[in-house]
Formats: sequence, structure tokens, C-alpha cells
Amino acid sequence: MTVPKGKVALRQVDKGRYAMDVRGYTCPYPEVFARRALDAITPGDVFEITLDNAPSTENIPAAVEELKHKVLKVTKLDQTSWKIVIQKS
Amino acid sequence: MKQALKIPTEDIMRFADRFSLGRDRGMSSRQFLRIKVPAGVLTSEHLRVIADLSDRYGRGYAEITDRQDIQLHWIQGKDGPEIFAKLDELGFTTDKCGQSYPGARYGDTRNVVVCPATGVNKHELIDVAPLAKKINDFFIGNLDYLDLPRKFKISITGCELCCTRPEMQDLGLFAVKRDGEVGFAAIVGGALGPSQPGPRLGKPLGVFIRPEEVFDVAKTMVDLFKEHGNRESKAKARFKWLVETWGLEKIRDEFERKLGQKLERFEHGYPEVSGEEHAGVQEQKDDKNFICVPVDGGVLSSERLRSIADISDEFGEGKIRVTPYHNFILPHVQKDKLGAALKQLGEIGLPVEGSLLRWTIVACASDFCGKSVEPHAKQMTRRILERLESRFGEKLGDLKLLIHLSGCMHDCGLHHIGHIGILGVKATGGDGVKQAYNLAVGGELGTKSSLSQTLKRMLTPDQVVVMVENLVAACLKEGFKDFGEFCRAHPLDAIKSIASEGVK
Repeated sequence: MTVPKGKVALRQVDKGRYAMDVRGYTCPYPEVFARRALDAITPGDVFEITLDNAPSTENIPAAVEELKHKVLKVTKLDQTSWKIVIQKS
Repeated sequence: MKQALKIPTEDIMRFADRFSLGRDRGMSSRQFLRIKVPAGVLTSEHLRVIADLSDRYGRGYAEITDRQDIQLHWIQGKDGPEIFAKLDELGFTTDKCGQSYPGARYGDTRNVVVCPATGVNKHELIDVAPLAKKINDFFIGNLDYLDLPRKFKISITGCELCCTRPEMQDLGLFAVKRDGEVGFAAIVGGALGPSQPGPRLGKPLGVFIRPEEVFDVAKTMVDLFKEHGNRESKAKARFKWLVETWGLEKIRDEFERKLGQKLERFEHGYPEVSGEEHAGVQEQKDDKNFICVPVDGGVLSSERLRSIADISDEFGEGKIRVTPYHNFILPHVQKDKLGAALKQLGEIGLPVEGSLLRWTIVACASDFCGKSVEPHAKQMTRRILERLESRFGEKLGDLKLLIHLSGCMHDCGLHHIGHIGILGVKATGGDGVKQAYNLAVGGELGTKSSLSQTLKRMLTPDQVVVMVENLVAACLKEGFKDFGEFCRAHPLDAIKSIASEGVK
């Protein structure tokens, strides 16, 4: 079994809504990818990041706060993964 | 039409399989950087770069760990790629800290712990640095081994002290001599943390391993774990669970089947001597000497790192080694330069003097992981050491005494194998959370290996210090040179009474 990391892509899932799946990545990669995604989208857009690295559920909201964006929701999807929904200010 | 937005990833993807940050929850630090130091060997230039990284990203603070890593704190995730690029230039990597994953996966092999005096130790049977390098090189960044059920810990030593604590590794290899031939014996399934089946000393595998077989043995043992380790439950995912549930015979049979050969049977127990540090000034194989310098809590400021690098350039051929007891070694010092080297070490606040306990006392980084409140583990060991040295002075001298302190039950401070093992527990009362400690005695490695037994629970920090002082006073008064012998000479109840005298 190898680490099932996917290629990291920022997909558009709806108008003004983007998603990224970073399961398989440990710190600091989810946070770094999230910061870059927030750089790439337009103010007002919503960004969803799916991850399975528990510390990122604390580090990403902290980074979002530092960047003055807004965490809309942190959802536990199952026993091992989470989705964080962020709106770019 | 839906589309993908491009974000730059190439610059950091190259690090993803070899570098990561771990989680901190104390001292206002969120993440730590655990730099693997292969075979514990650094150059003065490495040390200066680490000092620079520490200044720039980690508030000028660094600590040596018991797997011969150097750990920095207060690392910001956004700085990860820049730091990784610098370490990559040096040829260093970090642990892959997948242990925050809630399930049984993303485990990696940790830095192979090596005798820090390997290659220069005049008493060693074999220099193990090339063997450790081969194992490290194979596993680091190897995609086939980054999704083990959990972490896997390997140690290897060729020295007579077995300073690498093979009894507490998933695979601990130590050199032995059989009919004049040097090879290795192996201990499997050791681990001190609380995951199931609980703290365990490893079991002697009972085979003779030739140096040229070491790599295949290590790889095959990790393969066995990868294939058969428990992936249903994180609590059962360490190798010790497999060793416990299968039993030694099945482990050996399946291991040999996978290895494709039967190894020669070799009756052995735990190493003759184990769990000791190469303290002070020691003669090398050649005419030179090495100096093992005690470091309080393993903590070094960036300024001290640079001073050590300078002293190493002047006296130690620009080499430094970090030890599993959180100390460092300055190797290759000429005999006629010893005095000057020792003087300079003293001048930078690292005197090579005092009791043996300065070299062997161990405490975890509970201040940073957030599992303790003040006094944290390293603060406690400092208090204990100061108290014992001030009361007993030179009498403490060379007393063999391992005081190990963990801030929590995960046992990074190895309290289960301390002659005196101290475990941090939080006491919640009407006036908030306070730090309390459980006191245990009787932990030991080597032929008399055993886990420590709890004497008393929920003590205040002051009570712990007094009880330790009582125990050491009794040990010295009765003329023991080894605290382990003192423990074996008295029943637990008697030790409890001795420790509790005058404690309110």
C-alpha cells in the first residue's frame, strides 16, 4: 500500500465555489495549499478543502483568521476526514 | 462552464514525501520541526544552518531528542517550504508526522538510533554508521513505506553500553560476538506508550545476524509490520501488538519466510549493559578523545549552537554528534587540546563536570506538546538535579541513577525504564488545573530489564522532589553504586516508606 495522495487541483464546483481534496497530506501542506487557493480565487468566492490531517483543522482556521478571510464551517465527514469551508474576503 | 484554477504546487510537492511538521499545543507553538540527524552526526556547518533556521523561524531555540533529532518549535506552516528547501540542501529530512491521523495509517520509519560514539569508541565491536545510513536511505521518502499502520522505530549499536536502548524499539539491534564472529542480536516489539497491549519491553528474537544481513533483516521486519500490522484500530497498530498477539515463534517464522532464509539460532537475552551514556571524556580508538557534554533538558539556544560549531572547528575537526540522552559529543579532540576544549565549553555554559546524573536524566518536551502545566517535565528534572547535587555534592558522583520524567502517559520521557520514573498527571480541583506527578521505581534496561512500578500517585511537584531526595539519600547511605541494585534489595513497600519519610 502506498500513500494515496492525489494531485492537488483547485476545482470549480459551482459558480464562485471551488474545492480541493488534500487527503493524504500532513502538515504543513494542507495549510500551504489552502493559502495558495485563497490567493487564486476572487473575493466573495467560497473555497472548500477536504483533508484527513487533524492538526490542519486548527492550523487552517488560524491562517484564515490571519489573512482576514472567514471560516464558514468545519465539518467532520467521517472518522478520519474533515471539510473546511472558507469565504474569501 | 466549470474550470480548474491553477495554483503553484511543484515547488513544494518535491518535499511532501520527506518533510513535514508535527503538532505542538503549548508555549504558544503550533508546529514543530523534527530534523532527522542520520546516525546522529553533524558538521559545524550543519549546526550553523540549524542555528540560523532556529533564529529565523523558531525563536532561537532548539532541542536534542532521544532519536538523535534536533527539534525546533514555533514553526509557521507557511514557512515550511522555505525551511524544507534549506534542509534539503544539507541532505537532511524530517519525520513524516502522520501520527495525528485518527486511524491506523501514515506511519513511517523514524530516525535509526545509533551509538553516538560509533566509529570512534575503542570498546565497540563494530562501527554501525554505514548500516544505519543504508537503512535510513532506503526508507526516507520511500512511498512504499510511508503508509505503515503506525510509526516504526529501529536502533542499532556496536558498543558495549547499548546506549541506544534496544529494549524499547520496534527493532533493536545490538552487536554480539559468537565464537569470535561479530554479528547482531535483535529485540523486537518494544514500545513504552499506552497503546495496546500497553508498555512493553521488546522480546529477544534469538537469531544471529551477520552485518551483511542487517539491512535485509530491518527491511523484512518492516515489511512484516506493513503487511500484518493491525489497520483496524490505531490503538492496536504498533508492532508490539503484532508481537504480543502472534507470539515470538510465529513472528520469527513469518519473518524468516518473508526473508527467504532461516537465520542461525542464537540464544541471547537483553544486552549485558544497556541504557547508559558515554559520559565525559573518553579515549577514542585512535590517539584522540571524545567529549560527551551534558545538556540540560537537551535544550540549546541558537547562540550556543554556533559556539559549539566554533569549538568543534577548533578542537573536533568540525564534527558534532547528538546522543540518545539529549547530549552532544565533540569527537576527535587531541589529548593536548582537551584542557582548552573543556575550558571553552565551560565558558559557553556547558561545563563537563558534576554528577553522572547530569548526563542520564531525561525529560520530554511536555511544555510544547501542551500535555502539562508548570512545572513542566524539563523544569522538574532541573529542580531534582539541582536539589540532589546541592544536598549530596560529590557523593552523588558516579552513582548509576536513571531519573526519567514524562509529562504524560505517552512516555516520550521514558519513565517506564527509569530507576526513578516520574509521570505527569493533571489534577483538576476547585482552583483549576494543577500539575501533579506519579512516582515509580525499578525501571531498568539490560539483563535485569523491567518496567518501573508506581509507588505513589498524584503527588505535588514539591513532594516528588523530597521523595526522590529521600530515596537517593537511602541508596547512598546503604552504599549502593547502582540505584537499580538498591531497588532490587528492598520490597516495594519498604521503598515506599523510605520515600515518604517526612512528606506531608
